[in-house]
Formats: sequence, C-alpha cells, structure tokens
Amino acid sequence: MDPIPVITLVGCFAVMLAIGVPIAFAIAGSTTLTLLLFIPAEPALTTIAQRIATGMDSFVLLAIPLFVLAGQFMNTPGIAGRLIGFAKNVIGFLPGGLAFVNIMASMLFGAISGSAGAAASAVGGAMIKQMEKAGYERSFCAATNLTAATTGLIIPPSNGLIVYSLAAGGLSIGSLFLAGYLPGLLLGLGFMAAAFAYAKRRNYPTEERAAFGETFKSFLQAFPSMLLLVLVMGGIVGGWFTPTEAAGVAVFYSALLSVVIYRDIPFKEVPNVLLKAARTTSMVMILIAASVAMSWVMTYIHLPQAISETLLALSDNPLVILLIINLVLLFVGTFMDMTPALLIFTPIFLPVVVPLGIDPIQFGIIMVLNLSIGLCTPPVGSVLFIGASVAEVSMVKVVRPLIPLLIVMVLVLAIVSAFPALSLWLPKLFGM
Amino acid sequence: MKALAQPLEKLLADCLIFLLGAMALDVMWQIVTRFIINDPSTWTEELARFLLIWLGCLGAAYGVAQRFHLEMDYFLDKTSGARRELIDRIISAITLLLSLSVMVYGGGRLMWIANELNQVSPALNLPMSWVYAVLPISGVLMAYFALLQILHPVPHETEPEAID
Repeated sequence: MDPIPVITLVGCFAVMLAIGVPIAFAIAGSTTLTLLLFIPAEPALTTIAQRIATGMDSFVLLAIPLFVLAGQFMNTPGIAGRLIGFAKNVIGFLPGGLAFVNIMASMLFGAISGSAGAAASAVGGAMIKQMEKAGYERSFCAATNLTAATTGLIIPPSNGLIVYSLAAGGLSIGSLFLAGYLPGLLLGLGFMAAAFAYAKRRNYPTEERAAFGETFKSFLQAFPSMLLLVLVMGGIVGGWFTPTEAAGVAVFYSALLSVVIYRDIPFKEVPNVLLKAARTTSMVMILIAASVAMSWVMTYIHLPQAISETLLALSDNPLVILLIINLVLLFVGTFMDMTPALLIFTPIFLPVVVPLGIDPIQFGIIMVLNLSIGLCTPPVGSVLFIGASVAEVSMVKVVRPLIPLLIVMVLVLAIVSAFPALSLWLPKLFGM
Repeated sequence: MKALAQPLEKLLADCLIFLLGAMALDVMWQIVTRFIINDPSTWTEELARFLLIWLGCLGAAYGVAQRFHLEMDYFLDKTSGARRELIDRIISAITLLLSLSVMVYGGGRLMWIANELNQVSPALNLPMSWVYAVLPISGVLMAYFALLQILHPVPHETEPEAID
C-alpha cells in the first residue's frame, strides 16, 4: 500500500479536527484532497459531490429525521414528569429510592426521545430539586442521571444503531433494535446496583411505599408515553412497518399526544419543534454524507484492508481483537461524539471482525455501548456537559460519583463483547 | 454583518421547517395508502428521499450560518483574542473553499451532467438535475456565510448541542 494517500487522509483530517473545523468538513476536506492525488480536479470534485448526494439518498436513512422529530415532540417537562411519577411509585421505596427513580425515568425518557442529551436535561432538571431536598448531593444526582440517560441510545428506537446499520452497508434495523434491549437493561440494572451501594453507605432516605391504586394511576398517566416504544417496536418486529414507516407513525403519535391530547406544546410552537429537529437532522445528515464519501475513498486506497491485516497479524483470537478495538474506541470516544465515530470507524473495524466470526449485529451493540461511555467522560463528553450544567455543578465534581458508574459501563461492555448471546438471543427468538 | 445574514437565515429556517414537515406528511401518506386505502403509493418513497437530500444540504448551509455543526472545540476553547480570531478565520476559509469546490463546482457539474443525460427519476418523472440543484444552491449560501465570517469574525460560544 502506498503510504502517501493514507498520510494525506489521516493527517489532514487530524489537523483540521484539532483546530476545530466542523467534523463533517474535516472529513469532506481530507477526502477531497486525497482523491485529488489520484485524479484531476474536475472528475474528483464531481465524484465527491455525487457521493454526498447519494449518501443522503436512502429511504432507510429517513428514519433518523423522523425519530428525531418524534423525540422532539416527546421532549416536554410534562412527559418527563409523568414518567418520574410512575418510576417513583414503582421503585421509590428502595434505599436511595430517588436515585433509582432518576435512573428508571432517565432510561424511559432516553428510549422514548432517542436522545441521551434530552433525557439528561429533561429528567435531570426535574429530579435535581427533589433529590437535593431529600439530602442527595447534586454531583451524585447528575452522575446517575447522565449515565442512565445513555441507555436510551441502546434501547430502541435508537438513531445510533440506524447510523451503524448504514455505515455497515445495510444491516437489519429490526435485528439491531431487538439486540439492544438486553444490554440496555443490563446497563440499567448495573447502574441501580452501583447506586444502591452508594446510597446504603450514605444512608440516603427511602420514599414511602405507594398504595397499589396510586401506582396504577401513575402507570395510566405514563402509559401513553411508553406506548410509543411498543408501537414502534411492535410494528417493526410484527413486520407491519419498515423502520422508516415506524418512525413516521412515531411522529404522528407523539405530535397527537403532546400537541392535541396533553397540550404540553401549544400549536403555534410546532414550527419551532420542526426547526429544532431539522437542526439536529442537518448535523447528522452532513456527517453521513461526508462519511459516505470518505469510506469510498478509504476503500479506494485500501485502508481498511491494511488495518485489517495489521490487526490480524497481532492475533486471530476474536476476543483479543475485540479488546484492542474496544480500547481504541474508548479512546476515540473521549473526544469524539458517537455519530461521527460510528460513521468513521464502522467501515474500518467491521471488515476486521466479520472474518473472525463476530456477528455484525453484536458488533453494532458493542460500538454503540462503547461510544456511549465516551459521551460521559471528560474532557469532551456532550452528555456529561449537559448533565453537569443542568445540575449546576462543575464537571470536575461530577467525576467522583461518576467513576463507579463508568466502571459499570465498562463491565457491561466487556460482558456484551464476550457473550454474543446477550445481543443475538432476542433477534433470533423473533426470527429476525 | 447581522443585517446581511439574518433575512437569509430566516428564509433557510422556513425552508427547513417546510421540508421536514413535508417529509413527515409524505411518510404518513405512504402508511395511509398502504394500510387504509390498500393502494400503496408509488411516489412517496422517492419524494421523501429527495426531500431529505434538500433538507440535508440546505441544513448544512444553515449550520454554517448558525455555527451548530459538530466540532471538536477542545483546543479551540483554550485560545483567545487575536489567535482565536485567526483560527476562526482559517476554519471559515476552509469552509469557503470546500463549499466552492465540492458543492458549487462539483455539485454544479453533477447537475449539468444529469441535465445532459436527461436523467429523470423513475416514479415522479422529475429531472434529476432539479434534485441535484440543491448542491450548488447550498454551496453558494455556505460560501456566502463563510465569507461574512471571514470578513467579520464574531466570537461565538461553543455551546454543545448533543445529537446523541
């Protein structure tokens, strides 16, 4: 392999990334420069433009803006409050009850809104006051809230898994979604165990046990919001909808719920909701378009092959290779968000692991889990940043209570990497 | 500076709202025709894909204006004053160069080729050059916003917007 194109691609990308060029432009810029080494400007620029246009030209991809829009409709204090009320009645009576409530509500809200950032700010904003009043430290509230919020990225519907499916060249989104449930729940249980130990030591209070009637009432209040999850997954698994159509149903249902039934969002605010979703969509789409161009150029210069040969020369034990890849991704995740990291590294690492017998579905769960950890770690962690700023504590203070929770995440990542069945059992059960 | 960019930004925002709203309605229509009318629509899928290309490209231009594109600002945030301004200018210059070369020139060529070959979309019979037209259009807008930012660098807070 000729080293010059590789150095051009990787070097230009790294330099642009470091000085703060938007990631999508750093990708497009380094890709263009690399291609210019081989072919004249006119066909090169036309090819890049064409890759950008075709990169966005996909019906599956449409699920992302629609899920984002549905999440934006569901992102209201009212819906967060109903989920918190329900969670409180279900698990509030345990020692450190409010921490459990925080974790459960963050998980539910994260799954429904599809955004860890939204869950960290909506649930965190509501929980922080209640928890502080009950004697919890703010930094502990923030830490439990923001880590639990990331489970929403793995519990379906998950935009991260759609991005992965795309970067992997088109995997079944239904299978990926189903594969996310058990690892997501395991993560939640792990957080609860860590919170339990912490709360016991600190003697945090318990909430009064609610009467059954009360619990049932709060369930009915939270039920319409949670129904969204059932509707989407039921539709996909039952084979009624494609993921994109399921996302369309989600938009319709969430708009109906928030605007017409709950009236949490006044009708005149709807254009604003659309604009917010369009902003997020634009950020994701331009990254996808640029990455499609880059992965084409990477293949053109045989970069994935070279990396694959290098890694396989080290070992052909799947667990060793997964360990190496996980370490690389953990490092990448500390400074890069999930979406760009998925887009850049899936085409590089997937060809390495597939010949070793690792299922692409399991590998997707590993990547999303791994990169969620990076969202919670300093120096650059967007969910950490949001969680800390909602709780009005410095990121440095959050780090201490965060450490046991990060250990839980790494443990779950190790378990999911070592035991394929954890991801693959459910999709197989449903014959997907 | 603000007066030069604001009306365009407002227009772009309205376009994005329209495109996303149309996309959601289009997919819903597809579901309605398949399940309720039992006569699956043949053009909804194609239209939705084209709307997405337009949304993505115009959104990218809007992102340059509003500076909401995802970036790694760890080192950038450690600089200030004249150095910060210089780096901001370099970033805008890279954006300008890319938008002119890839989006305006490359996208323009793509549009021209599609026009020469008389490419039309299979379901809607739409000339593909109309679909690709959004590349040079967004490119010009991006270049315009980037140029304004080179001429008048405004310090911007890098407030992270989570997409995950």
